Amino acid sequence: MHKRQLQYFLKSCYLGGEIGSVIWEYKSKSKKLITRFITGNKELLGYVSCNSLYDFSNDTETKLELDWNKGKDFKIGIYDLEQLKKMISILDDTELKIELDMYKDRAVSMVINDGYSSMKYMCSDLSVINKPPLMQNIPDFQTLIFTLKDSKKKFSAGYKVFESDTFFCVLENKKSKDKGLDEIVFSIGYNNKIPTNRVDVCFGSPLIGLDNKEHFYNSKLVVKIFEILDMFGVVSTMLISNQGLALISNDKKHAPTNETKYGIRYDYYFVELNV
Amino acid sequence: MKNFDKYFDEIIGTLQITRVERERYKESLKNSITRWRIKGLLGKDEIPDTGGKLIWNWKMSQDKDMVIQMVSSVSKRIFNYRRKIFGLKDTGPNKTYIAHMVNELMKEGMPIFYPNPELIDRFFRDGEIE
Repeated sequence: MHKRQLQYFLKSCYLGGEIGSVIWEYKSKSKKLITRFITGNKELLGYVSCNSLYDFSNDTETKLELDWNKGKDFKIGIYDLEQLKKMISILDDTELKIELDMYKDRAVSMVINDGYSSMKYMCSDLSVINKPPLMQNIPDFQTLIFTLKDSKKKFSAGYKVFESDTFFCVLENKKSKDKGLDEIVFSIGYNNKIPTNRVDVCFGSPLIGLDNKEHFYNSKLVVKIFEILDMFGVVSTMLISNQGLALISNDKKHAPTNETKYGIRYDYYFVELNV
Repeated sequence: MKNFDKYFDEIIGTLQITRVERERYKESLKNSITRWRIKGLLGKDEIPDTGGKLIWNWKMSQDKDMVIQMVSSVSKRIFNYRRKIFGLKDTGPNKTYIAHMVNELMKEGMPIFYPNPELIDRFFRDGEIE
């Protein structure tokens, strides 16, 4: 696997420090490297998978046949994700040779070699890492939003203005004088009880099917995900459900324009906040 | 969720956590309740019994997070003390190994206890939550 692809995978589950420990699992049958994680406050559940090997020299993808454990299945417990991320950043920008030292079905250590220098990362017991719940009863999503570059940028800038406001509200733009009439706006700093300073960022999609209730989500986490989307530079979709769940995904089943870059697929589920 | 603070206090009981941790736990519980409702484990306006299975499940998950925090703290402490010990000078503590030893300690010596033995097994198996 190329260093850059490994870094993209790492960053997608590290989320700028929101996630500290993860388990990576490789299944030789499906040829996927997958990880699931949950934040400490149980607000975000993530599913990231690497589905193919990316060749950066000619922009092609091949099947993910990892020989880290001689082609067999494996699970790696990564206790300190931040340290692994920093360690890998030292290596040369090239194809990496990765080998696991196994004890029974558990990886004890991982040796990563760039052909010039090598490093050893001690893997942890899988049992010391919190395992997130399986996604069951995924509700129907009513509204679909395309995460456009301009909107993401404005939202991130807006978030920085309102540091103390950690949430935003999904609303419909009803002001005829504003751009994006009848479209979805993410209102940072919104308060339904008192007039406050707020920034409404238009996301260019109509609000369909969402009920009249106010739907609040965590701004900080959404900004972190937007940073990941910017890193891949592809359009993904954000889906919002009336049942209190939102999803940011690059799965094609949600929209044909969704793209998978560098073989990495992601689903980030957010729980609605009770404000 | 009226009187949530009272309900939350009942769940926390005599656990001594800081103000910041308290807020984090409260947020976590609120989010977990929303998740359980989405999953159909709870009714629309239902809240789980303070001594029930779901709440103990949540407590186990919080404990796992707190143990990770404890391991981090222990690692830092060992790192600071090793420079004062001749035989340990210039050696680096391995956080992964400390996590393993703390985990073992919680099986014997400082055993973890929950009313439901299945939860104790789950704590050491994979800690998967509802």
